[in-house]
Amino acid sequence: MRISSYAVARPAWYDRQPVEIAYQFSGSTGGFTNGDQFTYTVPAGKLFYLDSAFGGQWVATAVTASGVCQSAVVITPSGGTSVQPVDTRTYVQLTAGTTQIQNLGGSILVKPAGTVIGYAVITATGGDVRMSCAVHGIEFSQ
Amino acid sequence: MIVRVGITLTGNVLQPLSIPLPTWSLLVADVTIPRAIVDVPDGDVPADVAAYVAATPTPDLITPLLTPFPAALARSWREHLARRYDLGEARWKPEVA
Repeated sequence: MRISSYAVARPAWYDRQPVEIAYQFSGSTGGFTNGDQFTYTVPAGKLFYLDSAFGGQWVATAVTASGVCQSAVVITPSGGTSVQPVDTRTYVQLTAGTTQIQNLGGSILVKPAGTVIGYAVITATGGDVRMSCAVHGIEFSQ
Repeated sequence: MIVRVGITLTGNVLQPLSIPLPTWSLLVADVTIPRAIVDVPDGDVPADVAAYVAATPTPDLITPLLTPFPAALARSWREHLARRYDLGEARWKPEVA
């Protein structure tokens, strides 16, 4: 007589067909198109554990007319409001040597159809501003 | 997989182009053409479209395609993405351009 049974144990999330996902953007004034630089959408039946995100900008040569300089990582949950947990944004005229960097504190779990986007914009003109944004995470089966 | 695709212009100076794919990494774009060369996950491209891309060189943003991108492959790509991202009706309509 069977008096007990154990359900089949489910593997931990990192053993459920994990795929390592990483995106990196680097660009400088005049060398890239403003806006989204990479987009990752979580496929159906998967989850995405974003463990690292970075945004940075540094000024090699001062701009000649001030404007937006922004490097950000944007997370948009499916059907939800987008958030920018990493966002370096400056509006003032930058001077050579200025650096702004930001790392994600903690981690984010993104559900199916959610997106992770690297965003970089320079509307300030002249000079040489270097931009970078990057993300890393593990996509795994629900 | 590196693919050259046609892009949509949005008219927004901060976000001037829209790429009709769920997951991509932009390598180079020209909004005046308009085309972009992007890196997309291999799993997002069905086998027939991958074969077309392998057979059709796109060395830069300007050189036209040797053979036009067939409507049947465009439909195949749309449906593949709709299934993979489980969003019912096809939301992305990418075309090799």
